[in-house]
Amino acid sequence: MKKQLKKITDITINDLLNKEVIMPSIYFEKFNKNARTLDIDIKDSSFGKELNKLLIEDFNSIERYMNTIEKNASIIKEAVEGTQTALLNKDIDTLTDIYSQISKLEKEVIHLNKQLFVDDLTSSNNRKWIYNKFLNKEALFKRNGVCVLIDIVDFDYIDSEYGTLLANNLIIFINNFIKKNLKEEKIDFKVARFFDNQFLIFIEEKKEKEVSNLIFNIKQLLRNTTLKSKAGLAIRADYKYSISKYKESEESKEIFEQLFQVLKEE
Amino acid sequence: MKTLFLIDILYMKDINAIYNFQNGDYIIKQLKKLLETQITSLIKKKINKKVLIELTNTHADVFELIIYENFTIDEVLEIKNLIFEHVINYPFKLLNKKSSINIDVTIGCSKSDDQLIRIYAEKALHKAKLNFVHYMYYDAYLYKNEAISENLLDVLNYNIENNLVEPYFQPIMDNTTDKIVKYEGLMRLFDKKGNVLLPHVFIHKSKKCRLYTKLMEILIDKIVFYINEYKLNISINLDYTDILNPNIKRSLISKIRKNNIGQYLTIEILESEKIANFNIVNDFIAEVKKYNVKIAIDDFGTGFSNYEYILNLNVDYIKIDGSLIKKIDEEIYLNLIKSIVQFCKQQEILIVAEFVSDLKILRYVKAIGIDYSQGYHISKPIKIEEIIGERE
Repeated sequence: MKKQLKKITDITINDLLNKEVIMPSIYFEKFNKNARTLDIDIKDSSFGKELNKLLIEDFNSIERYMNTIEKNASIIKEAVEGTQTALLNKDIDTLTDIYSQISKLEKEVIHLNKQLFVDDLTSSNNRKWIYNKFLNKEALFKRNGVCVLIDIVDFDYIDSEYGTLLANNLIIFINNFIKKNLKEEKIDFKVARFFDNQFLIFIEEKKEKEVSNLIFNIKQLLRNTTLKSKAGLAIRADYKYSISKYKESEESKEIFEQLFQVLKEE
Repeated sequence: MKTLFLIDILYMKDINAIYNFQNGDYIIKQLKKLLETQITSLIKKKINKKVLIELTNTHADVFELIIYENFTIDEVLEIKNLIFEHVINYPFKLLNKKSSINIDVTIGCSKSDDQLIRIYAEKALHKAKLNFVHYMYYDAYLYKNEAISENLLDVLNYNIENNLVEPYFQPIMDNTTDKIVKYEGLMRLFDKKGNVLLPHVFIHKSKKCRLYTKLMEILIDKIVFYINEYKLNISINLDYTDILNPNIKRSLISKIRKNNIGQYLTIEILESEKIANFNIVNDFIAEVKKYNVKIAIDDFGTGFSNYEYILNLNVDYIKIDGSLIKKIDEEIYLNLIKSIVQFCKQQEILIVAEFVSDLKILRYVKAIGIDYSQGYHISKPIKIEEIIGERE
């Protein structure tokens, strides 16, 4: 038990070390959350106090959930039969059960929502995400930033000559490579697969020149990378990219067209 | 369109050494016959149509098999398998006729209507050997991308001719005072559009093109100039092979002596290959230490860099490799780093943590008593102007 609590403490500290200020409430909340992910031996009496504390925290959480549920009582009434009776009887078990059902439902909605905007192959965002999430309803940019269009020039050739499986692996490799390199440079970015062989990267809070340098280096690295298959095939693809700044409320269509035009002219 | 297979006997020298040259030649003769008759007829049977097949013995133990046909990648693979299986399973006789041996072959292949097809196949063969695999196919269409990377050679020459090589400086922080005490000078190049090239893009190519020494010379000159001008503590990276290079060694020591900058300089020794001769390195260290230059071991904890270095070399600092620091929040890596720290403290060697990319890592690094931190959390590499600007 002590070992488990030590483990929870380690995980919690690890979660929080990046915060400048660690308030006790945040610590407790995280600790509580992490504690619930581990199995706890209730029969171990020597840690009864700790266990009680965890239970109290859990109880508080359930209370908070109850409050949330109460706030949305009208929706729950329609959704779940018997909630009203349970509330009147203060039937915590049923409410907890309902809560877990709603949580499950919520998770499912989040999952479905994610799936809708995620590219199956690369797990990056898809084009739908650009128009439904990243841009506003009029397809205008929500914030200022820099946009990069990356084109895998030899994709069609590789697809026809080597087959879709290998071409897809190339796409996955490139997607991961770009993400890894941008993360290492501590860049805050969003990637979306725009077409089969084209990615759009959106970077905010960075100057165009800085982004341009970075993408230039990533392109050079990619160009010098030979991918080897188990069957002895050596593939080295070529890439193109174009970069453009965008401003809040600017038409995305214009920026995207401009990016494709530059790519074409290269 | 034609498809070319280069079939190369693996470790032919061993066969010659063990069974003598007469037996070696006898095996090559048998391979020629096997390819000419049995394998060629099996290929024709497999393709099931009339095709022209040519066989040439290009070098001593290398055969070139050209098939005048535009195969798909899968068909190429099937033919390769046919050749490979038949060759490696064939009992090659020795001249004494009593025993037989098996041989291994490496196959390089390419398909093109281009005259350069042989170069593509050679390239594939070379890559296969480098990667210890028995076969590699090199795509002639994608080979054009190899040519594009020749642009990088232009960039290297452009930087040398115009003296553009420039150090960018990444600050190193003292973990006790939180003050910047030193900078690591990192090489940067520029293309004609003004893009900055990072070392991992050009270092390998520059060594391959034998231009690395020239780039290093310019970098060292500029660092010496900045030290003279601004009295900054700077560390530079020297490869083990740089130390072996008498030109770099002589020129560096002469610059340190003439400009009297030893006290500001730290040399970080990193290795592209295992240090085979510690005496040479220690002679170098002893020489530069006469001028108060400090010595650091770079990328400690991974690759070739290990405790043997500390025991054999007279060093002042070790820099723990970023790949370990990155994972410092994992118990096993934390324990490993702690053991390095403990060992260094006992040997009175100061420690620098690289890749300190966030506050969490910095907290860990400080908590276990590492003396200095370097990484994006402290600062990215910056231009000299930014350092001078900040100071002013």
